[in-house]
Amino acid sequence: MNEQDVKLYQSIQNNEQTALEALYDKYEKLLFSFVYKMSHNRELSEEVVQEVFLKIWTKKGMYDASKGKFSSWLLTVTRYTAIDFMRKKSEIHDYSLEERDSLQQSEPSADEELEWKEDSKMIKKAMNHLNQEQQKVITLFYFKAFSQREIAEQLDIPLGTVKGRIRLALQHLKKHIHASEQKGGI
Amino acid sequence: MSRQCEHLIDYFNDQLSDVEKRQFEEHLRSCHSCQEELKELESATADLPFISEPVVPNEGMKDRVLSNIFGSEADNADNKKQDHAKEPAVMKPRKKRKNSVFVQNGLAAALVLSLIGNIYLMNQSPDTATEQELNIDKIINTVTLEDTEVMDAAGRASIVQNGDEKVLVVQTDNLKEIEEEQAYQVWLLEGEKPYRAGTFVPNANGEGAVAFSLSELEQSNVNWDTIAITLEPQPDNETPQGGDIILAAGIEG
Repeated sequence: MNEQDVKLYQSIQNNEQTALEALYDKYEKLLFSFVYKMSHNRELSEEVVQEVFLKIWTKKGMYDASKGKFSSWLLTVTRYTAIDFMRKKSEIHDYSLEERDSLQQSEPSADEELEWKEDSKMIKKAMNHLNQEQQKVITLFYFKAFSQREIAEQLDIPLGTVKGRIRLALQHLKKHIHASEQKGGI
Repeated sequence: MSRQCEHLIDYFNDQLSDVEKRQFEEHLRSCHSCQEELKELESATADLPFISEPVVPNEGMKDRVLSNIFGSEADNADNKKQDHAKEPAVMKPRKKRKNSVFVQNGLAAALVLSLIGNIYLMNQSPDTATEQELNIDKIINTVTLEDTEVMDAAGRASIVQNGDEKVLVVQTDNLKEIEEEQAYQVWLLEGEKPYRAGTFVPNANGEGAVAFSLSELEQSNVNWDTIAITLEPQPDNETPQGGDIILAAGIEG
């Protein structure tokens, strides 16, 4: 997977449009779905995905192997671009958990989504081991990218304890992901 | 642990002001525990995007995004592709094409005035003319010429295989009567570059026709894609000097 991505990225360095298109095809739905989960806004999601690929196309050499796996790097860039766009549109506060739960889902279909589906299954399973509050912490922190103060307000906890809650929730998640990996979950 | 360490979460979520961000990055360089915690946050969240429920991207999103990225370059390539795909089937007239677009292009002086009737078989020796009698002419391509707003004319253009050579045959009706020096001129356009492809004057019934050997254009590798007829002030103009296009259609050899 990573090898293929890196190869495409190298071709993009040589201005090969077909390579960018191939990379786009591979990640369009994952990135779109990710930003949609963060923003609940289709228009913004499209703008963010466009911005990410525009950066890849115009700012050559952004990625190199020292930045880790290509897909992880791409998702990080996407997340920060989304945070930036969400802030600009001030839609970051529109969040509600009900909205997230009522989100319409579509079934993953194509082969290229297989890995995503497997990953998703495993992480969802791990998430289900967390209590409601821990799940909410992760959503507010990672997907909503709220500030420490906003998280404290949402959870009605002291500001100084926010970081500890986040770390604890993430550690639990990690533990359960490891457990399911060892059980041969994928 | 300094006060700066409390900014880790806001740093990770890009919620700091520029000044705060710079200060924190300064701090990060020397704070081992913040470095560790940041790494931990990054690795612990790396798989979280995959939890996103698959959502079908917006309709037409790929085309919009890629054409925005590749800019006008891609637009042009796309249009060209479409033109080529469409042309043999649809044969749309290019009504908006005005004389001015091809006046600017110098036309090779190679093409000389060709009056109706004397062009047909003009490059043929008596031998091939004899042989040609045994050939059966075949239509390779035929299009209906569409009138522009200038006059309510009608016409048809065919490319006919006649032995070894191709001949463009144009027939038109309902043409306006012309003044003394004027003549109707057929042009084949390669992009916006015009090549003369026969001149004619209509009869009293407003009918006109041209047969034009395409050998010379084919030898020069001209890839025309459009045929147009104009009314020219003189019959021997090398480039269109006259008024608007009377009839036009997409046509390929």
